[in-house]
Amino acid sequence: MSDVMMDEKKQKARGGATFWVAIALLVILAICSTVILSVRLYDYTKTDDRTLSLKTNMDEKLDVFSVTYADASGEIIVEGANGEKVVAPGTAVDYTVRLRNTDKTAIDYDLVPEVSFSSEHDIPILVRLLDPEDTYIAGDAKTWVEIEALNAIEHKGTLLKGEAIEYLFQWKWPFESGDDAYDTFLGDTVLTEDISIAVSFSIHAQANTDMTVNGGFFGSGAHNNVALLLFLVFILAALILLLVYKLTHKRKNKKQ
Amino acid sequence: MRKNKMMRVASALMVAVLLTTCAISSTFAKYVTTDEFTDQARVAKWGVELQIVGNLYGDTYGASDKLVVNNDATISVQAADAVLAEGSDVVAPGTLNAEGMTISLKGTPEVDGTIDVDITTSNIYLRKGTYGVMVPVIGIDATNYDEYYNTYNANGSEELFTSTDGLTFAVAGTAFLQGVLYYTIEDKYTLNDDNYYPVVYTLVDTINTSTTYTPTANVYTTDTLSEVAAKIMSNFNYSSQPVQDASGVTTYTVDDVPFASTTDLSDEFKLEGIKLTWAWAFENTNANSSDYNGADTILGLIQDGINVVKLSGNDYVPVVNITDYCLNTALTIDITVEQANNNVKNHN
Repeated sequence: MSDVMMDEKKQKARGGATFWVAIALLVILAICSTVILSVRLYDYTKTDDRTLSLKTNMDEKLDVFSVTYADASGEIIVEGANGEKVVAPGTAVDYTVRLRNTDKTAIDYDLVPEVSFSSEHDIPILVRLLDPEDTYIAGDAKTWVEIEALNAIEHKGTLLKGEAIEYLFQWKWPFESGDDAYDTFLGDTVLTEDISIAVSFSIHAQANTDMTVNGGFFGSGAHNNVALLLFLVFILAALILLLVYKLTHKRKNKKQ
Repeated sequence: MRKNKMMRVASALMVAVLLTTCAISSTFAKYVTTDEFTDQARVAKWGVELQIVGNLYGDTYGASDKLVVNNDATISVQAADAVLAEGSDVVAPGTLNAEGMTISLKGTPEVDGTIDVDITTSNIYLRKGTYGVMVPVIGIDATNYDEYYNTYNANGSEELFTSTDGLTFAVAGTAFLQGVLYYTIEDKYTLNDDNYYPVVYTLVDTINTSTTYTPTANVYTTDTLSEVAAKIMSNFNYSSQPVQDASGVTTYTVDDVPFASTTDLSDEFKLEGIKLTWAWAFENTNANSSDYNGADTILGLIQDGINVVKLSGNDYVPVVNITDYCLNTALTIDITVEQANNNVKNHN
């Protein structure tokens, strides 16, 4: 067997090996990605109601309003009968809305307050709302706004992994609202008609996969990005191997 | 051929890997959470009902001795002023008002509050003493003086008087005095016992029928509106002294009587369904006086503008309003219930 034939045989063997390595890599990758995808899809379908791990102090109970209100000495001066929450002229509450991201990734959220009345009679409650940077979203340091202003608010923000923030919601029903007769009308009419107010806070949260808010490419504690990188490296390697194989195969065909 | 097939397989695998990789990476960003938290409260109840219904006095009284407010063919007493004109209400012996006026304070507010109560009263009365009306004796002179003297002072009575000014009347002496006027007394009446308050008032608690005013009764009777006022004020921890002005009006005032949220005001202040009626008996008698007809007459004479005099020391002098009598009776009740002015703030 001549040297030329030996070289050709060796080259052929190397080309075949390269091809099979590439094939093997692709098969492995295809299997792996299929398995991972299956797992993901399984999770996705199994936990259809899967929620991001966003904790708030409202989870257990939202206490924007109270059954009793006490003065500075601790004496209760307003008390709802039968344990019912009430509001009255002269009452006020500072309520802190706390959000804490306990998920594995950053979270984009919308905080949407909403107010509604049970009857046609508005309750003259004034409010202010401060965001986590102590910037007033409703009202300002000197001004309170009518509670209906809450319905126009949608506040967006991003919570990094492990981050906690606070909103301060303040309401008051001024003792001297300027219309004692109307206040009295409400207090008397409620004996025969439901006159109530409801305040709600809706939180719409979505995972934020932006690398910059998740600690950079390798910052994710779940190593998802590393896995992705490995996939890309393997794909690239397989691609290069296939190209090498293709080129050597072409050259060989030309020689033949 | 074999290698072409292998290339196709490899290409298919490549496509599969790329597709699944894209799918994997896209699933990382699709988790979404929406929560809504709601709290609700109703307006705290106030529901304080305060009513004072009815009239205590009127312009006219029917034959049935019941107060009527419109003209009636059976009217037995009627004010000389225009009927229903403000301030023209009258009372007289034999009149009464069985319907009276009713005071009601009730409710269970869910807020702390305070109550202010102002009551003013004035009563018709005649203080004890001897009263009469001096009437000039016409035709008396030095020649017939003894005859007049003996006639008016018969049986030890002293009913001939002299006066130089028509205001102060002294008992006439045995000798005729030139230049003085002589009078005799008519409608003489002596009120021996306590002062006379002709109108008798009755408070009835129509809701709490057992122990409102005494341990065993819900009815309280008195002959002065002052005591009516004091009885009402006693439910508001009234401890001050009433103030009487020169016109005989007595004022009872108590401010800022507190009550706590969820207090039943009816139970606390016993002023729900309190009915006040009155009567001026036509024949009013007393253990010490044979009757009060003479007192009623004296009050009527004063009301008619007759110069009534009262024995003061040895002389008769003109009666003085408030000091000796009062012809007006009135009751005003002003109750204000307010939410306590306490601003409160909870921190939740």
